[in-house]
Amino acid sequence: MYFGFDDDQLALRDAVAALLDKKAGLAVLQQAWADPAGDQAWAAWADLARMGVQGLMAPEAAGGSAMDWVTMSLVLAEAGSAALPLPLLETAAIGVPLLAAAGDPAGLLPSLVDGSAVLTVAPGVEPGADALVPASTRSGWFLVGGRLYRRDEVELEPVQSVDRTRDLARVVAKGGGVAVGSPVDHGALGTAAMLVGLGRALVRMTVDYVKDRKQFGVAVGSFQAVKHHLADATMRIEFAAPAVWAAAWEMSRRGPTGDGVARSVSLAKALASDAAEQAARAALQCHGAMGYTDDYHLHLWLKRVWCLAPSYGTARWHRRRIGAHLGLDR
Amino acid sequence: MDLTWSDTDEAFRAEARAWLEANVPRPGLPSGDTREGFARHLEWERLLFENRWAVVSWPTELGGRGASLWQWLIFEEEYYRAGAPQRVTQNGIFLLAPTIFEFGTPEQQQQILPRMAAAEDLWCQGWSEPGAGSDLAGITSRADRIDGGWVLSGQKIWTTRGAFCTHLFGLFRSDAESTRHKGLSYFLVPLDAPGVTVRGFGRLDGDEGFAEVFLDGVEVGDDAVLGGVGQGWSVAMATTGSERGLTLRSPGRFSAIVDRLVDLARAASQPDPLLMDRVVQGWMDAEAYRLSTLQAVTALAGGARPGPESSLNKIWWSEMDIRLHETALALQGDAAETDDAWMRGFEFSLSGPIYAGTNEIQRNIAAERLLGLPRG
Repeated sequence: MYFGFDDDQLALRDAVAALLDKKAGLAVLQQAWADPAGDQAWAAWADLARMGVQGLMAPEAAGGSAMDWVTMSLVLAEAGSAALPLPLLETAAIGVPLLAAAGDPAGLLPSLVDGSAVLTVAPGVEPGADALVPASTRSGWFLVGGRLYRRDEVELEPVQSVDRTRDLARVVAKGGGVAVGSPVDHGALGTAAMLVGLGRALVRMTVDYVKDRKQFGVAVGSFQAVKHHLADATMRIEFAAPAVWAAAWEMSRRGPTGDGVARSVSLAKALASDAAEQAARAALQCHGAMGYTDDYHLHLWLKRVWCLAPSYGTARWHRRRIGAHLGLDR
Repeated sequence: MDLTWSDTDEAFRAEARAWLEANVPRPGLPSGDTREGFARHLEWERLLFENRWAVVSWPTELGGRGASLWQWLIFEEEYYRAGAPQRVTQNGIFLLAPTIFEFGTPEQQQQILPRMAAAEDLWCQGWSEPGAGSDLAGITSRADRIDGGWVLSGQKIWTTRGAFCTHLFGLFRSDAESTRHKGLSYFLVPLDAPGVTVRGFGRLDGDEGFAEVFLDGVEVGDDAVLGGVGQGWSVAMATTGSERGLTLRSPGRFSAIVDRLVDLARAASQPDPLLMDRVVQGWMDAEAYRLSTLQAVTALAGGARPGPESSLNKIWWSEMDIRLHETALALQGDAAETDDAWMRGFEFSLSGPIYAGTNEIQRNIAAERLLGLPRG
């Protein structure tokens, strides 16, 4: 029994965090808000590929490094923390492992790994004919309801997301596509990791703010009501995190259809969704009016939480799935 | 990361499970917080000791098995899974003992630990006073120097099972000029010493699980001080780390409650989707606590010390415990008012956010020491 990370995993996590800090900082995020498909917003994509991030879980034959989900989760938590406005989850944590497991039917893996191709995924658990997808403009491949479509096999209609960095569109499949398997478990696990990162970032930003902001002659962070909001948010996030790492370990060990894996993934996602939403509420409340303007950057993290918390199954959907495992779904 | 148990650990689990299945009393014992029930629990504690299950993590020469922290977790899981009795010795073996291992002299360890393990001496905690609850540093009970020892005077309260115990560990002000955290010493006091009066009183559930302890000129020797004169605060804090953290409330306890809750929910004749959702949430909260504990024990096994995150731990398990019992009562409908195990458990769970420092204080500690927010 060892519930921790090895040095290589931590070193890679730190390297990704440093890269995102340098190449996908606040200025880039704000550019993505104004122009989500623009070159500036996407500058970090090639850097991430050079570091091997898109190919983390790809087989070595496809140019990847065949690492496990635990490592991927640590990386995605950093992407969440930075509110990275790029489809890393979709390409690296859903597309790559699903295609690898399906024998890469479209011969796409090498170009996903080297960053030249971009794949996006519809995050609904039962996507119908009018699924929504992020990163719609720059994606060449669309994974909708377990089938992979080329861009010329789909029709896209832009939809405004509350988070404009999402570059959301309604996608309608026209061609046949190829079956590659359900993205729900990969997506739920990866999203849970990102939500842990987002939640931690929200708490961190808010702690900095309330230490600095003074009212009644003192820092508002000295008030117990403020402390308790942040202690609760921290607790929820830090009790969701181990569930994410454990689900990642199980996913790698047994695969998405392995015994008990879906239940572990649902545990991680339901905890992380609720925790991140609570962190977002606490962050906004503790920022006061400063959090309630899009002139200040907090909203970028809040809105990302609102997008990801219901993606790949709401907390309620995952609790229902656990309930079925526990025999409570009569 | 490796979330599998070793063969040695699995063998340990199998041995514990087999022994518990064969020996756990059926039906269960009466409440250990009553005079009659306490006596029955002592018989059980002595049976545990004779079979070296009383203090599994202690060294073998003190009656334990030298079990690792992992095996301790496994034992707790099996213990509660088997529906075994509450541990009336817990304040000694889980709260005082770690402090004695760390701060006690070899003589103190030899004198106190074997008798504690054998449930010959029964220890209660003497921290709270009428004027000092969450604000523990406000205590006024005194220890006055005399030749070769000390004279203790003052009043302790909310002492769990104090009316049935033989000894008390607690904080006393050994420097009369001191205030707050300074000038305190940690004392070990036999409750049969002249000048000690113990008065039991009822908890919320009516059991005589509480006591007030009056100390009126109680003489103790120099060897009654644990960890050095004037060092009481830091010695005591070592114990609160255990109390808020995992030694008092291991995950196995809540996993067992959740198992019973799921059974209750499965048996519901008219399953209500909202209630079922709360049952699942309860399962999730207990599972999150188990996984968080595996992470924490990995860190402890690697040499880390318990830190302020133990405050978040205490908030998590204590508030989860209430929700689990509230859900069980809701599943019972109008039968909830029956004074049965669920109602008893509910009443007990309500003490969780109060004892060992209220959850409001824990939130302050977490915000100040983990997040670095300024003290108010």
